[in-house]
Amino acid sequence: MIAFAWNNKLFAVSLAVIVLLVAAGILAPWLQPYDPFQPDYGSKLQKPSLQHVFGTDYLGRDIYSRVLLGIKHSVFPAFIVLMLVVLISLILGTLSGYYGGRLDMLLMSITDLFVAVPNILLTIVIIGFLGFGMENVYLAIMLSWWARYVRIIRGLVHDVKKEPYMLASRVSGSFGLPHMARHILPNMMPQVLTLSILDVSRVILTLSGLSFLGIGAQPPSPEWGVMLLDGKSYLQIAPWMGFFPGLMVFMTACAFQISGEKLRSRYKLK
Amino acid sequence: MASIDHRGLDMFRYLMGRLGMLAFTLFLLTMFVFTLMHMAPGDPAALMLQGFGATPDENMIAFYQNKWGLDQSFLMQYVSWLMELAKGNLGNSYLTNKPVVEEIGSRISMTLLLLISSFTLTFLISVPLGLMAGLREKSLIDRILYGATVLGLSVPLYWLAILLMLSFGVIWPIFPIIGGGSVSHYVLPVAAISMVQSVYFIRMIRSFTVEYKKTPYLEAAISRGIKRRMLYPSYLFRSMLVPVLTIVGTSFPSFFGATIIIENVFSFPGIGKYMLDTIYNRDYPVIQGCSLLLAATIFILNFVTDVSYYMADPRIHLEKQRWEN
Amino acid sequence: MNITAQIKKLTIKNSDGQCLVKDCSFKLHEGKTLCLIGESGSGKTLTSKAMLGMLPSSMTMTGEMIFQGLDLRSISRRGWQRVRGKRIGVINQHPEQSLHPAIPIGRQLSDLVRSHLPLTRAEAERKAKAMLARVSLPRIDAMMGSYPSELSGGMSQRVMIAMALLLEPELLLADEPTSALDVMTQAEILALLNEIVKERKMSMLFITHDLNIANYLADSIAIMHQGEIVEYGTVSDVQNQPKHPYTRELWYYHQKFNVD
Repeated sequence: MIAFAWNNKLFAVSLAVIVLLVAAGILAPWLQPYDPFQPDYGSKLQKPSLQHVFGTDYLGRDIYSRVLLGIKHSVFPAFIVLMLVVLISLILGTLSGYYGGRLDMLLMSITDLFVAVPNILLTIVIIGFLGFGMENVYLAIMLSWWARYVRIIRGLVHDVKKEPYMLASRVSGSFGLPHMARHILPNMMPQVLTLSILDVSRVILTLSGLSFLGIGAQPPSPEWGVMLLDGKSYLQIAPWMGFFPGLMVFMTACAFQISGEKLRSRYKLK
Repeated sequence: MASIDHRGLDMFRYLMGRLGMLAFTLFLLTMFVFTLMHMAPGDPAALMLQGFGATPDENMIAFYQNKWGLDQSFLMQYVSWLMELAKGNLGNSYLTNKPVVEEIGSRISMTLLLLISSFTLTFLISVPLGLMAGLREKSLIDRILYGATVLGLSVPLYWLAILLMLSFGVIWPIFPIIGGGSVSHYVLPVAAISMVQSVYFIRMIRSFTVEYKKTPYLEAAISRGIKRRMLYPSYLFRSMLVPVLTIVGTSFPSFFGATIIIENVFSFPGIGKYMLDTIYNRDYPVIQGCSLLLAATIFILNFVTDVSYYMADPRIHLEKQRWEN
Repeated sequence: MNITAQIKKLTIKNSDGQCLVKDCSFKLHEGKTLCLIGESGSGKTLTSKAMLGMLPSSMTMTGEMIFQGLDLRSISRRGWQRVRGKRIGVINQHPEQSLHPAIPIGRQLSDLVRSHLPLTRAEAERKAKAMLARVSLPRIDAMMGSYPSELSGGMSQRVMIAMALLLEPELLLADEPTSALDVMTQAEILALLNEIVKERKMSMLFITHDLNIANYLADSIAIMHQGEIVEYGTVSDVQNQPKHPYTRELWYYHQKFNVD
């Protein structure tokens, strides 16, 4: 991966952006010049300047400090949601692919159903009837994403099962689930990782999009979508309020998209 | 000719099978939506009475529960709800007390127009660009388009819409940025949706072009000296028809998702904005009606896609060698 | 006797610099058939592709190819469109892969006509129907509206022959046009092809691995072995005085297994 990054400048740059972003997200409390929540009515709606590099919002809060803290609210949840999805799908997909039979059939018909229902419908139904808030948004995203992963992982398990060395180990009698997991997991990792890096970008866009619609994170959270929604009302007098949070979403999504696509072409995945 | 009848019969059987499946899916859907509705927080009788402007006490609620049949078993309620649904009655909005069908009906044409115009623009942008990129693989234009699609995949639609508003509504105010009604209200929303949706289409059409231009029958057509003017639109695009139809038919949910965001950014009075408002107000009958309508549209579109695909591709109804003897 | 086409020292290399065809030279005469014989992978098909300007772009080519006084190697992309189908016709081994599966036969024929001649669709269709009749296809009106998947192998190959001959090209490249067919159909198609080629005084390059077919069709033969032409001359010359050991071997096995 390091050699690959060295030979591919664009990949290296986007990887660097991701690392920087994660570091900034963790170190936000020490990096922020102002309190991201403390209103300062004396300096409302100020243009970007040396004191406030991204300007201030309608309560006089420093947008730079809020955007920085926003990493924790906009990017990290996407990681957590996807990690959960991958974890659940790894377990279900491996079991389904390994044992086959009735369990496999049941799981496949359930995933068929979930694949057929578009994410947008699922999200509306869940948020519509269960009410808004981040928990329901996470639930909706996980329910929209898990089926695809289970199917992919099941397919990968099937592929690995056919490999000559797996056949050999089956003949030699060491073909148990733990053995299988030990061999299969490392083999699948590049593909699953690539897929989830690509999906980080989509999950970030979805999360902040739902917050922008007012059904995800709620104010005063410095989630980027929420900040954009605030900024929309002040578009005519303080366009920077919405511009910078949106730029952050764009940059982050871009970094994950580029690194995901480069990895995909490297591993020759479809 | 006898063989044509045969083809017709096959078609009929296929259609019936698919129709049966569609009916079953729609039935499951009504069950699911009704159950969710039943589980939603709050007492329907109380909520409905509040809709009339009353502040109901327990006796009043009990009276109306009995009157409206809300104290009956789940199954009975489902059956009577289904009967009403068959008559085209989706109940009344808790908020305005008007029939849900009316509320949706008054907004649907605006959303439909928005959807159709953005879809048309998307198609007009992406077919030539996708073909161009695919035919000149790895050329400069292909690489530029690839870069543009990476950016397009990462740009948040609402941010793009706000930037469009800022540029063409505030800094250079040539288009209205809020509301709906006149043609000019459609320009920015349609532009925003098409810009983002084109990205998927361009990528798909490019990869189909790359795949299909290597087929032996296209090479054979070139070796016969078929003119480019016929070769690309007819020979190349014709073979891509089935996959392209599939994306077109299944792209509705993503277009609708984009419409929800765009209608809310531009305060465009269509279904997308209405849907979100009802979610805010917990107006469950409307949420129910909207989800039913949306889901039914999606399933029916999938059905139409499958059927038209069957008709577009003569290979699906293979009747080998009916010309022999 | 007029020379239709002349190939001199044709050499084709792939991107690794490996020689796939080496120093091939032959002549095609008006009204005569040259059979190019060789086993699969000997470079026969590449030679015919080179003559249509359809080599994969990864391959490089040297040598000379003259067709009716025209240097084939100097033709532009646009120029090729006017030569292919109109002046050089082609028939492939797999007819079902050469016809577009989703376009009716009649439409494919009339598209071909209209790509080269300024005719209306109705006129083009009339011309196409006449040609379909010439290759003895039944129920032509219905045939025009049917799809390739509805035709048998022998019928598709007849359609392909109709396509190749429709614009009366001066040269016909036939690349194993009968090897995917059963023996009976094979004989019919060969007879038809031979008849039309003689009738219209076309020259034909017929590629095959079957010596029986070569015996039947050829005025002269060229034997290709590992990218090189090892034997070239009239049928009787090659048969009576084979020079290359490969040819002798080929003839030995041919006679041994063809008792009739």
